[in-house]
Amino acid sequence: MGPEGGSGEIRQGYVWDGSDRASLETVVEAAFDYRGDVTLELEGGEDLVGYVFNRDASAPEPFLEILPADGGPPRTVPYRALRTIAFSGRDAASRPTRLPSSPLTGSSPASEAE
Amino acid sequence: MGAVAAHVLKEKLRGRRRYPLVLMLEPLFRCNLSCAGCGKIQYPAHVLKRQLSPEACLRAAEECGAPIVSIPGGEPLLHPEIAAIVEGLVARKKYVYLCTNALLLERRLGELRPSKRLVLSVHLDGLEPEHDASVCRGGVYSVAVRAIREALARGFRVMTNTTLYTTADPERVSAFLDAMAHLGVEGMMLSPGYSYSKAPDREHFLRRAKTQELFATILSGRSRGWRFNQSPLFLEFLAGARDYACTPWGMPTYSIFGWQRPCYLLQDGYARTYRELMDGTDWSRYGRGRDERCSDCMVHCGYEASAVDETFGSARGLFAAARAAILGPRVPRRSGRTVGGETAAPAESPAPLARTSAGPGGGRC
Repeated sequence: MGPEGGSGEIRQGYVWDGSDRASLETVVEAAFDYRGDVTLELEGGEDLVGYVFNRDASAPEPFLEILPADGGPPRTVPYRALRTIAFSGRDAASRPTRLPSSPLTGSSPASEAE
Repeated sequence: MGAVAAHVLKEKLRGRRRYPLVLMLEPLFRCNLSCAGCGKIQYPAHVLKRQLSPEACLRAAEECGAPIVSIPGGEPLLHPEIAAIVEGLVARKKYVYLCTNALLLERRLGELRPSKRLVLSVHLDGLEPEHDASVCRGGVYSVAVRAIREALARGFRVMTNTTLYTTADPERVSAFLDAMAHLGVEGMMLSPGYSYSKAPDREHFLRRAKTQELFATILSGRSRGWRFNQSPLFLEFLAGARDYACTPWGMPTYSIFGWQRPCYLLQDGYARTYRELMDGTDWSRYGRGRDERCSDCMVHCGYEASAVDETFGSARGLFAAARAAILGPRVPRRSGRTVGGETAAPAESPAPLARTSAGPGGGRC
């Protein structure tokens, strides 16, 4: 287990190590709410880094959907294939980000901070 | 107006209780501003780089069938193919509201063609100090006003959309509405901000009673020159003169993630098709009294469709809307009570953020 905020929110650096399968649904829910990338270690040893944008715990085969950080197409991952979940990327909504930015470049402070 | 009426009547004749009015099409989340009250753009960089193709946008519009398509974001003018998206929607006889902060409007105006079906909806949260504070950058108001003038000169339909927070001073809002009317915009839209859990500034969202108090004050001093591009019954709802249940399906949202459940503001998951969104969402879970996140929401994406449904759902609704359109929205006397049963606290002193606080963000940025 890794650092949690005082409010109980999961923060960057938290790692679900897979030993407590009963908490998986809660951790996936936190990953879905998290506005940063996570790293999933999957069955077979693959590491998948990306943004979890959807999940369905009530589906016959519960799954999450992730946008890979490499820009690839969305992938669907069944819960049963998850070995570990690391909250590896910065949470873009964790605090107000105010960096200098040029007006017309299209790069928001949020994206510049990545 | 005619297209909306025809659409609503057609859906009612078909016996559909839940039907779409406006497709909220978010082709990207990338933005060239980072506004204090916006919770829409806080994503990793690789997500912000993604965007919907014109084909995906047009497919979503056809799948949903709403007569109006609103294109917020992110900043839609950052999409390299936004002109093709707009053109395709107009060709499909959709009424398109292209919502923009106008920073790139002058530069990209030449790619767009004026049409009665295209409205450039420029985001302005107030006069120069208030707007620049709200978007956390100086100079944005003057760029937007210059772009509005240019767009009007080139024959585009131009409207404004304005989000209000607890910092809003009714007198300054009125002065802003006067200024926009003088500028010559065709219509204005006002909305209370939604309390996004991901927004940088989560401290200045209006509670329900305060929203009603603010809008009642603004509308009771309205000028004849103000032309709102909103259902008059929705304005009465904002002012606390009537109450509605939320119709989250009225303005379905499509983005790079899919069809958003249940509405434009809440993100409880995504459906792959519009039909899946409509049939697979437990709508009974949402709305005031059912979901805490909805308790203070009075935003158009939940309630304007309710007002339109009432307008075209009965002779009484039509009469009420006609009366409000001609005579102006009814505004209740402020007695400390509101239609929701909440007690409005005594009016706060206006908080003119940019005029009194240090820095361009006035403490919000």
